[in-house]
Amino acid sequence: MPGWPGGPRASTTMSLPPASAAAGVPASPVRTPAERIDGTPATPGWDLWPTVVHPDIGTARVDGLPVHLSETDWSLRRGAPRLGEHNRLVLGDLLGVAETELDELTAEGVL
Amino acid sequence: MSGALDGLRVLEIAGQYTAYPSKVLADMGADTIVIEPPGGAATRVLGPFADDRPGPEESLHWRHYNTSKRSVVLDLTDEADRARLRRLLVDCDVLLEGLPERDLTGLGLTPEGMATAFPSLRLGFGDPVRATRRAAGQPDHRSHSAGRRRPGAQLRV
Repeated sequence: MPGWPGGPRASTTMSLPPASAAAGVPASPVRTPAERIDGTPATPGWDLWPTVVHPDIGTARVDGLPVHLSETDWSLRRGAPRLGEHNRLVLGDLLGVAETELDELTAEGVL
Repeated sequence: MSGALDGLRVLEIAGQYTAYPSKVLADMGADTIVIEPPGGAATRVLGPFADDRPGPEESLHWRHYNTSKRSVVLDLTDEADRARLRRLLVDCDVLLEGLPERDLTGLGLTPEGMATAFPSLRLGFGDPVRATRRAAGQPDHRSHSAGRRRPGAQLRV
């Protein structure tokens, strides 16, 4: 393709898109996850990789949402739950299962 | 800053296609509970895994798609736990599920029946095939064997 600076073989993933765009062909590089997360200020600057606290591993970076609202923005309340992490909260507080029954269910391995 | 969906109550029956919409609602402030079967949601087997150690708590797929949610284990093949689900549904605003229709019927949770039993409930289909068929007015003819290959569609009643 004429117009590629130095010809196709001299182009790189990062150099080609601007040249391509200048020639009227929109393009953007396909980045590795590491490049996507830390290799460009754009996505961390958009708060796409917030940190949450995981009950077992401590702090971990996860994906945020790719949009922001001016008045009522999203926030990550907590990291992803462990299996059944909130059994007691849901069964006890929301469904009114008694403490003694929760203890029995725990002893039986149900919870 | 308060979330746009503060106060909204969401239940998700864990599935492959319900996970992200449920995460969005949860991150936007909705009080969101994901219901997992004993042994954990099928998507917990999806990698990659933290430190390359496969395990239900190490699935990065799970960690990404389930932020801001709470997890409760209910065995929906058991009537006592189905009764617990129905009680949760009474105070619930949105249910997200992606079960095959015949499994829903087995649970006594047909969309029509739920609209009557839980009039305030809004239903979301976490299954693109079923949602498309319903939108087109077609019944769900997917077989159990077809469903079995997909995580999140493994419930048998």
